[in-house]
Amino acid sequence: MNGASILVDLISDFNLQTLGNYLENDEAEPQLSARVAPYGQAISTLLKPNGREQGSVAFVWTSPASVIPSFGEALQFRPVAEDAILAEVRQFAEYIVAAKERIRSVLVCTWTLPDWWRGHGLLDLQKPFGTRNLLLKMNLELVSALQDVAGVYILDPRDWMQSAGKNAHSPKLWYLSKMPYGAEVLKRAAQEIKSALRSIAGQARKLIVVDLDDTLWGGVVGDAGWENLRLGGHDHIGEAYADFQRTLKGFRNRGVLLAVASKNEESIALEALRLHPEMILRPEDFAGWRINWNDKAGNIAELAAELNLGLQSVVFIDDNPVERARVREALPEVLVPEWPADKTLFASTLSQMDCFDAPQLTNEDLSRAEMYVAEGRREGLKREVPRVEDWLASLRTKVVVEELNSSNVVRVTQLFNKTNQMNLSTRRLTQNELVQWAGGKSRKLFAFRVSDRFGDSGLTGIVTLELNGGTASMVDFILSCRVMGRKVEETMLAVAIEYCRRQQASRLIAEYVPTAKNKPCQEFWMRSGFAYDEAQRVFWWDLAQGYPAPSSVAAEFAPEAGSASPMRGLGVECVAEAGN
Amino acid sequence: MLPDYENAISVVYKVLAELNLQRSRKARIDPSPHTALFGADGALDSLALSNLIVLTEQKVQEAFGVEIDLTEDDPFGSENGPLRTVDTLALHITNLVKQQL
Repeated sequence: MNGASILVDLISDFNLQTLGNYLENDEAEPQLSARVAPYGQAISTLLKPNGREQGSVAFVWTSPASVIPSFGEALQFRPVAEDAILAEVRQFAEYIVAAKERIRSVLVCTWTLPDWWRGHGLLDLQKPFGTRNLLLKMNLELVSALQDVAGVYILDPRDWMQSAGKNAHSPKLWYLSKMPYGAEVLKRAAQEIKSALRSIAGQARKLIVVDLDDTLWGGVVGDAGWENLRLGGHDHIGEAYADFQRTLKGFRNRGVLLAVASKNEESIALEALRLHPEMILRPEDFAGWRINWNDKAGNIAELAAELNLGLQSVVFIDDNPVERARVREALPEVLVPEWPADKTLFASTLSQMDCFDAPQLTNEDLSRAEMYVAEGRREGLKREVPRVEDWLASLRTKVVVEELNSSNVVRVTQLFNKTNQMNLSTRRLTQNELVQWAGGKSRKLFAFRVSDRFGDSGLTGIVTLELNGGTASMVDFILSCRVMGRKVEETMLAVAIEYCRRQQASRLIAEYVPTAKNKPCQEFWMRSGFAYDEAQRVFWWDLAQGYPAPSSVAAEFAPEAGSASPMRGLGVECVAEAGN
Repeated sequence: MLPDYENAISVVYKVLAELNLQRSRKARIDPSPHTALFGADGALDSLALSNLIVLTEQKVQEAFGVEIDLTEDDPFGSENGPLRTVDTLALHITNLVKQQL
């Protein structure tokens, strides 16, 4: 995200200039320039069709009584029908959706009331006069109306206010400058906006590497033995370590990988992970480990490479400040948080880290940890089976081809924007842009799901094609690194070529756009059998010939493509059987 | 904390450090007694002055345990008022806090 600053429109019915100042002058990435909408014109700014620069981000933070007039009436203890208020909420959501048509990403805050607002006492959570009762319903209605709108993300500012304490709201600041919130709230809001934008840009960290002794459990396992570690039990420190492990397990369950870098004897440490009765994390919860006496920075770099992750995806947690300093110095891209000496703060410190936030979670995200465990088994088999062909055949790889549809569009967009290595052109598109592009005349998008006998790797490949007379162009060729080298690449080419042949095209071309990271893609294409025009960086295939699909992969179309689908009857099964 | 000038000016410096987080590097306010805050040569516009007032009142409360009101006299009304410089603000805080104790 380095480079030019991103333009953020701050849309509010109060004065957000101070927030804009914080956003512009905070040195954390991304760099932002803020444009504050005219005071008191939140809705008109949302609706304004012209003058809003495309590609910017909008941050919408409003007071409920201002944009939902009926709620303002309710605050005055005037009877208002709940349905009328919720209808106004839906109308407001429509304004947001309309704005999203022009703006790349819209961040919307839920509504709050100032902390000095006591409401109507015991009536406040009751119908029909309870204002907090109404506010809860309004926020739920707003979330419900917006949660499935691509590019709209909802933020909850209550946490910002709680963390600011008694200075969260300032009536004086309101009367002086029409800003109801104190500086601490605005600083936190700026941090959360930047965190959200990093998350939307796919910069969430994906791997937590943890130390063991005095980090995952209390004590030194090599000295004390696993039976004497402080973990769980009737011991406040042991319980704190167990809670820290539970928090890590929660991250694992939402798709963040776990790994170990520890200076220990591997057999002794693994025995502790396997045998301690109160151990929450077991060896199978970790995507990898380096338990040895080597430099931890080197071990972490090896783990990241083994898991096909960049160092910018890694967080390292260690109780030892010397180890933390060493890793920070050697691997500046790795995030090494300051870690509290107080063990009872481990779980809460981890919970507060925002670097793992993802804007959406797909099934692939949720099962990522299992996929990496399966990959470990695959590699184990590779070491046992000497011939690569035999190993590939033993995997029993299956590829299911799908078109773009409502159930896979989130994952396809994610893959589009996160894949670097096996990426022919490295186009980056929002979900809306992708859907719009794929719906164009003479265009086709194929998505590929990959599984084998060790597990399901999920939707991991994309091919897009554009037909122009007798020439077909492959615009995108994208494959997740987690399935590279298993003949899925060749299967994707076979599917694409067979489709183009059926469209009566005579030649398929693919322009390779080099980036700092997609050399593996070029290397695959160089050995793919396509002819290569080096000057133009264009690969091409004479469609008079089919492409030999790999015999080790069984490919088929997803049944939901339906009989009306242009993909139906393409005969990929036959292609796949054609042999190599 | 004793309600003397030295402690009062250190409170003002803390407030300026907070305000500087809202400003670009080249526009940061120099924490010095002679720095002009409000008026013809002042570093603060009306929004920044509002933030200065509220932050100062909060930090005085934290430091000395008393509430002061810097808006009792119209702070935007006179360029020769107590918000003119860091020095005049610190003196004003010292006086207000002493009156409260």
